[in-house]
Amino acid sequence: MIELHRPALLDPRRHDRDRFDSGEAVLDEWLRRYAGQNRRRDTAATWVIADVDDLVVAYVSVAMTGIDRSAAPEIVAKGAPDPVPALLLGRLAVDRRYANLGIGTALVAHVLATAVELNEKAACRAVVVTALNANARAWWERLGFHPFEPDDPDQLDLYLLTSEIGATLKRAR
Amino acid sequence: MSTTKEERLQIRVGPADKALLERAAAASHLNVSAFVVQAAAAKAEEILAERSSIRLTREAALAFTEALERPAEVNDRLATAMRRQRTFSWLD
Repeated sequence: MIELHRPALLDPRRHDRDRFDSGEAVLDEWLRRYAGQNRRRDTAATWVIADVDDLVVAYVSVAMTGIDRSAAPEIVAKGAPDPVPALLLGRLAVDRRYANLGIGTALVAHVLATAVELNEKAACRAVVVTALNANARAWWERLGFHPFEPDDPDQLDLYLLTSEIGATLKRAR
Repeated sequence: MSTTKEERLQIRVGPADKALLERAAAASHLNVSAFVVQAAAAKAEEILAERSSIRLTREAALAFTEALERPAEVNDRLATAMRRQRTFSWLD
């Protein structure tokens, strides 16, 4: 069986990113060129799963975000917090040579557990993702994510509530 | 990017910007069209992946609020995905 390191924060000195090939050029390029810089600017944190030689086989980038509900002023008028604090799962990519092994799911599970922990200590009400295309949206829906606009096939933003993540992970334990 | 059919996008550009794009495209060994698409796609991806705010439409905001106010529920799809047997093992 393939052996992999558990999710760890990307360390540009340790992790080899040069051969990463997810099939999405934009995502490969971003990992190779920008992840290090980005971490320094603190806009996103990048977590990776690497093989025994520290070769990155999957990565995810996460950032804090806010869900803006001001288009429905009556909600905000009722005193509900706006924006709603959430975690944005901005990028997820798995190397093609490691596809369909559940590695992407493992990385997402790590982020979901992080959201639950964050929500206990501060506030993080949801995890939001932007799917790159319709295939990716279907993948997220299989994981239980809900489209913000279920009836609009072009809408690629999806979410999970931290409360349902917590309830689900607790039962799975 | 996986697109089934190529579509046309027309953009107006000033002479100075056009010259700049042509030089950069040549330096990247790409034609101007491919260069512009690649650079714009990277920027678009970056903006979407690092949004500090997710603006919902009115309908989405109402539906999301309703979901937020419901008591915590187990998500069956997520539960199934989490139970699935892994085909790899952890080193540490």
